[in-house]
Amino acid sequence: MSGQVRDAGGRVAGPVPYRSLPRLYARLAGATVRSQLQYRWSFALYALGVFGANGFEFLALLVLLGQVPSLGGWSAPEVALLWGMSTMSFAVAEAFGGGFEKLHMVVRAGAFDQVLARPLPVFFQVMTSQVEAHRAGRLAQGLVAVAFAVSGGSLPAWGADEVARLLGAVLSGAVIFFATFVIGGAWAFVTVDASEVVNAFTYGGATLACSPLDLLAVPVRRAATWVFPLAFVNYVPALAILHRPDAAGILPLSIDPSGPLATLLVPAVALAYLGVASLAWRAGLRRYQGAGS
Amino acid sequence: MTGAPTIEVHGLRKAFRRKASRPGVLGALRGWLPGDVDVVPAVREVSLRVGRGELVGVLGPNGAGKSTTVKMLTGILWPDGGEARVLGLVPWRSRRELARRIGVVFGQRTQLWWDLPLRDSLDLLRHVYGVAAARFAGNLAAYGEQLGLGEFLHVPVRQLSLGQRMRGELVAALLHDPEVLFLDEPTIGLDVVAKGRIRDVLRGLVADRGVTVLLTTHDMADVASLCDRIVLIDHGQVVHDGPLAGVRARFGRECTLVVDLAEEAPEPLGALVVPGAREVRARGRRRWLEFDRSMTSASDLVAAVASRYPLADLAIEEPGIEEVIGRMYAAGSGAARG
Repeated sequence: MSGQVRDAGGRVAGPVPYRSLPRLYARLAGATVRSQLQYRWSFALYALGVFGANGFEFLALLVLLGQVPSLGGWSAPEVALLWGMSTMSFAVAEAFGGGFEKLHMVVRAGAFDQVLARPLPVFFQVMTSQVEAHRAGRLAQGLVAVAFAVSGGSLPAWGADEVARLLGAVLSGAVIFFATFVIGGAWAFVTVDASEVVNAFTYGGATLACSPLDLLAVPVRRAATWVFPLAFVNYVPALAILHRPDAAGILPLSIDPSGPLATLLVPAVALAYLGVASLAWRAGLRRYQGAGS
Repeated sequence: MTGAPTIEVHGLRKAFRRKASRPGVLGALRGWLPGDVDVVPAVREVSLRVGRGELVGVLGPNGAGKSTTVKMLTGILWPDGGEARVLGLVPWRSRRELARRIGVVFGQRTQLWWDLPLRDSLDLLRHVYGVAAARFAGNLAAYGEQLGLGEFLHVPVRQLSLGQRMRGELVAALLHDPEVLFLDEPTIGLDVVAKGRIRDVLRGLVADRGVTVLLTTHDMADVASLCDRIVLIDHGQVVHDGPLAGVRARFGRECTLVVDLAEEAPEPLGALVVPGAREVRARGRRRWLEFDRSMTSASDLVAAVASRYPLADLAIEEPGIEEVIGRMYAAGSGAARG
């Protein structure tokens, strides 16, 4: 317990140290999962619903691709890969960002003061407030879609390099979606009525990311690159995995989509967007606390 | 008061900015435009010093600024102006550090995990506050027994009665041995037994552990049985700060003499030339005479009445605490508005 100051009464002084946060995360997240398991039927039905809704979406895509051999030059396994990447990223982001998604309800109920009364960082508490175990189903579906894409044998050679690219892309994509949840949470401090607008970006974004980006209208492409970096969730990293040219013209200065620069660009964009989200979060929290701007 | 005060507040101010809500569709649309904002002052000027081991009752009508003041002193909200130190820390700048040394109970909210057994919530809070296992066990045993938690420690919080839950909330706020306790209406809606238990624990905390308690309440029995000192906040200002006895002396001077006359007499009684006394009610031979103790004594008034009307019986009624506070509110509003 180095660095901890104790007063005469043996109390620990100073804020709760940051290094104790990972274990606390596990405890608090575990508590929310246990809370959900108190309602077994509701949990089971909700999990089934989430699994079904996503699974049917994927089935519909498969039916479409079964009839049409390619979607604007993208083969069925390629589209399945895009869908799988975006779905996995979203699942991971949701696991950590669910608290931000539900924050408007906490603020509206007046329960946010209780969060501020605790000796932990607010961001951390919101992150642990809503961890939904049934979201794991979505991750599994993404994996199934990727497995389907790879097992078809029509994709370029699949080795350690591609697996690493895929993992990096899924994590970067998760950061992008997570940051979107955080920005949505920041909005809850401004108005509690914006949750539908936020949903349009989170769930809408996840749906949009399932279509190859070069098939979308140019303004949508631009927005999905520069306003909300959806292109970097799956389109840009998939180009490298699939050895495809950048038909949508997303990458500036004709960067080679399979080159090292593009590989670094994906996590860099994700982190930059997370930085923007953290600024928005701080501004929102300051507004709630009336700390001035 | 020895040394630096535990709570020191000077000229604290806070206003809320709300989007002006206007009727109709056009009004709703105007809400999206910038600038259309109402500024509602919640705390205008609050100054306060509270020493270690004091138990202070913060009173005031709804919307007077009590809760906003407590939220600033616990670091939940930032003030617009003024200064405050709690345990030497500026609450809103050292929120997390302060949170570890204070306990906060909002009677209308819960800090427990709704769907989990009470025991699980307490265990989670032990980790949130970084309380050592031995200290946690000791506190849970001591406070749990005082508040009788044993019988429902393993019941999910959502199934607890309000009284049980509030006892749980109080224990939850005490596990980390807070030096200052902020209680916002902790006894609201509770039965006599639960209220009594909570009051006993609060008295013990102050007497045995030197905990400083700031209690906002509308419950006059809380005030009468717990508070050495009363701070009355109205319209965002402290309009009275002093011991409960002083409140009585200032706002409880009006007493009532109730007399039963031996014979029929006119209503009202004829000219009683006693300064500060007036007849406020009459029912047959029973008459109620209100008088100001600072202007006339009870015996002078009795003598004056008895000299003209023979008395069969008499009684003197002092105002109840409820009535005293009611008068204090009335006087406070007058002062703030005037």
